[in-house]
Amino acid sequence: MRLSDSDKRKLDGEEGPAVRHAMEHLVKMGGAFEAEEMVDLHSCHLLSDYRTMGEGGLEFYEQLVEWGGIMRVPTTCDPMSMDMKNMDKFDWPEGYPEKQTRISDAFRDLGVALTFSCTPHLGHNVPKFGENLAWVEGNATGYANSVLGARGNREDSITAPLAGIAGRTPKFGLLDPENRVGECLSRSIRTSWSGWAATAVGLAIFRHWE
Amino acid sequence: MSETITLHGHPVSRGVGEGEALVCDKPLSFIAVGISNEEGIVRIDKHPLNGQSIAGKVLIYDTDIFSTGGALSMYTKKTIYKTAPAAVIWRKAHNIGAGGTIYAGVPSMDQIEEGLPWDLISTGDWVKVDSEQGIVEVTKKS
Repeated sequence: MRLSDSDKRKLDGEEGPAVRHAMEHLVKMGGAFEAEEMVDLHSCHLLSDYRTMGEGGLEFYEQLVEWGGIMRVPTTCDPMSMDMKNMDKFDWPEGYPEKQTRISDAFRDLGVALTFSCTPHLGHNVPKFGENLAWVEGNATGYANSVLGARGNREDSITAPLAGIAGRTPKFGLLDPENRVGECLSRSIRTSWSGWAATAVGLAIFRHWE
Repeated sequence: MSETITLHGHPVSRGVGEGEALVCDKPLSFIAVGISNEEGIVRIDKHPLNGQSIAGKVLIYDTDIFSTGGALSMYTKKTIYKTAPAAVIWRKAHNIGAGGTIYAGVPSMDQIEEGLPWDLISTGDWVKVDSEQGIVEVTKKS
C-alpha cells in the first residue's frame, strides 16, 4: 500500500503511541484487502456493548486512552448493554455495571459523543456526500451509502475506532469509488407493488451473484 | 502413513498456526452470544457447528455474518479466555473476521486456489496455516 508522508509520520510514532498503534493495524488491514492507499476519514461510529466486547474490548479502549488516543473525526456510539436509569430492576452479574460504565468513561476521554443510538444518521452524526465513514452499525452504513452517498464498509469494531484515532482508513470495498458503480438496472412497472418487487429483485440479484 | 496435501491461498492475518480442523460451509460469527467468549462453544440454533468448541481449532467457514462486534469478541476470546481458534480459513474474508484475527494475532487466510476449503479439508484433519507464505498443509485424518 502506498503511504503518504503524513501516513509515514503517523506510523513512525510522531503523533504519539495511539496513532502509531492505529496505523500499524490499518496498514495490515489495507494489505489484507489489497488497498492501494489510505483516504481521510470523516466520521466514526463505535461499539459500546460490554456483553459483546467483553473484558478484552474494555482493555482495548482503556489502552487507547492511556496512550493518549483521541478521535479526530465526529464519533458517536451504539447502545450500551444495560439501562443505567433502571439498573436496580435487573439482577446484573457482580461488577457488570461498573465495566459498562468504564466503557462510557473511556469514550468520554477519547472524545466520543455518548449518543448510544443505532441511528447516528438521523441526527447525531450525518455525513455528507462523498465522505468516508468507519461505522460499526450495519443499518446506518447502508443508509449512509445509499441515501446520503457517503462511503463506508460495514466496519468491524476494532478497525473503526483505530481509523478514527488515525483519521485515515485503507481504501477498499465501498470506500473505493470504482466499486460504487451500478452493475445492474431494474425498472418497476407497478409502484403499488414496489416494496415486494424490490425484495424480489434484491433476492434475484443476490442469488445470481451467489 | 497419512496423506498430506498442500494448498495455496491469500494471507489475511499473517502468522503460523496449527490444530485440528473444524469445518463447515456456512457463515459464522464470533459474536459473544453466538460463540461464548468464556467457553468458545458455538451456540447458534440450527448451525452445523452448534455445540462444538472452536478453541485451538483451525476453523473453516464461509465468511462472517451478524454483528460487527465479532471483531472485539474475537480479541476477548484470544486475550482473556484463550478460547480463540489457532487459525481461520474463509472462502472470502469479511472485515469483521479480518479485523478481529489481525488485531488478535490469529493467523487467517482466504481464497484457497485449489477450491472451496470445505471440499478440501474435513473436520478432524490436522491443518497448519502459514499465512506468511500463503500455504496450508493438510494431514488427512487416517
